[in-house]
Amino acid sequence: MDYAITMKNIHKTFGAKTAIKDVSIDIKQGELFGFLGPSGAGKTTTIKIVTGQLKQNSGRATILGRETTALNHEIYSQVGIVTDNSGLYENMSCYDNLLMFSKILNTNKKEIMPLLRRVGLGGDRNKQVKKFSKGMKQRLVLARAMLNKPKILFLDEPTSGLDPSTSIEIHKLMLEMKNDGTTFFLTTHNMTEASKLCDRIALFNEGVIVDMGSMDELSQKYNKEKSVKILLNSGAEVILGLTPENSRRVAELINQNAVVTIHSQEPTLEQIFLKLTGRDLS
Amino acid sequence: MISTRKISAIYSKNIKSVLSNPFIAALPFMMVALAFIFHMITPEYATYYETASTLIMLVLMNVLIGGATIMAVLIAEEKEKNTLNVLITSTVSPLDFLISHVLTAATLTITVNAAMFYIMRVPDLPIVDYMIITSIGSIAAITLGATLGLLAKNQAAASTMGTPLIALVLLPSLITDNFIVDNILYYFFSEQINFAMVDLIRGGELDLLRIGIMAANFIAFALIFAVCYKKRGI
Ligand SMILES: Nc1ncnc2c1ncn2[C@@H]1O[C@H](COP(=O)(O)OP(=O)(O)OP(=O)(O)O)[C@@H](O)[C@H]1O
Ligand SMILES: [Mg+2]
Repeated sequence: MDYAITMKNIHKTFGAKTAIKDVSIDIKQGELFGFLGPSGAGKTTTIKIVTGQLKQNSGRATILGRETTALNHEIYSQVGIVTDNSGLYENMSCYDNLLMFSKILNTNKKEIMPLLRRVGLGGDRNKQVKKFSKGMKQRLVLARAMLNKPKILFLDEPTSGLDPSTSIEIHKLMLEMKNDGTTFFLTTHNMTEASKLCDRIALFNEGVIVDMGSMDELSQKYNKEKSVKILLNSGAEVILGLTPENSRRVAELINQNAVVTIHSQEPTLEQIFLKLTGRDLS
Repeated sequence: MISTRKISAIYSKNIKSVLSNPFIAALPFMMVALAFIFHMITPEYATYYETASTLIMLVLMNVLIGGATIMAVLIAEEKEKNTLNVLITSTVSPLDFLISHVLTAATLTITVNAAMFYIMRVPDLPIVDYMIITSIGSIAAITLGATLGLLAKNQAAASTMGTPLIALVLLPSLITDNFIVDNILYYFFSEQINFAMVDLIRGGELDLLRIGIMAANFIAFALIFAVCYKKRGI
């Protein structure tokens, strides 16, 4: 199996501070992989290392089979990168920003407008970027990263600070691209985003991957006291452990037509994270 | 190796926006205005030699301060606005990046050099030779400015980094130790612009050795830039 991204025992320090400790992951082609961790966990540093913008102190990383410390600039024609330090030319129009990168990347300029419409900026093509809101800029950066139809898209907190409807649009776009085979390396501190989108999630704290797996694997693994939460007609809520005795209670309640909703009580990513690290995600 | 497509994309972006950069916009106009002022205060009876010397001073100022500052600000702007890393991670090689910006700064600087020639009206000076000397000198100064821009914290800092370069012009007349003047300063492109121009004023030919020294300056500055760039990372 050819991996899109590999990291083996990556270690990174800034002076006396260790930002990344012994991180190893292999990301398959077409996988949507998420790094979930709070501020300062080392998410951006990880992206910078795998995209060759920063050198690790030790360990090996590759993208598309090539060592990230010796990336030929041509490898960048196959990846797209969106980070919080992805700048735009603010004095130029939205369209001209993409036109310039389309020339650089040698892509068909006829694809610019459909792309702008896809990120909801079709009507703003002639507007100067300096007049854009944060969300509009973020969408333009995303459109730019999509220009060359990248094999791998690196997204560093792509929806942070955006309103919910814009975030949903971006999520839709990501899932469409994933269907077309794009590999994603997503970082986020938003557990809903991670659980909704990711095939696999690495729980990342203080430079260490504390656990890793699909949403189902993680929630099953940490679902020790299996239970259900039942909302009753009376407005009362009861939480019942999954014991033979309680199964009779549940059956009774259902027979009495007393149940409004019934939910299994597996832990959220937030709770798992708290349990593993003792800290909140935000 | 070098991609003309990428260079021209960045160059045309630069040319469209360079004069809306507040740290750059005033500079070429100030240099041209200075030439007008010197033209006006040059008396009617000034000799050809005196007028030509004023032109040398003006053009050195434009090359050293103007050229280097424009370049330093252009580079600092790409750094400050986080577009340098975007270009590099969009397949632009550091060399393509450098060339497209050198061409941008050279366009402005060389246009001003030409304007100064016409404003000062030194008709006996051969324009082609004048343009060759000042253009090569400009490109050397601009490449030096590139490193200044790389080292500058931001555009504001970069905009003042070219000014001290004028010392390169003043030093030879201030330093009395001939050894330093003859053996060190002599090999700076600024001195060579000066000497080459004096050659022309005296009716001499364009000396290829002078062009060679200026070109060597350019290559040395380009290497310094490459080293600093590598050290910094993207
Ligand atoms: N250039 C740098 N110099 C020194 N320390 C740095 C540098 N870049 C990052 N760090 C430190 O490394 C750690 C990880 O930073 P990083 O930016 O990767 O975190 P993050 O997970 O992206 O956080 P956020 O969610 O706030 O973006 C932090 O403690 C940060 O202070
Ligand atoms: Mg970050």
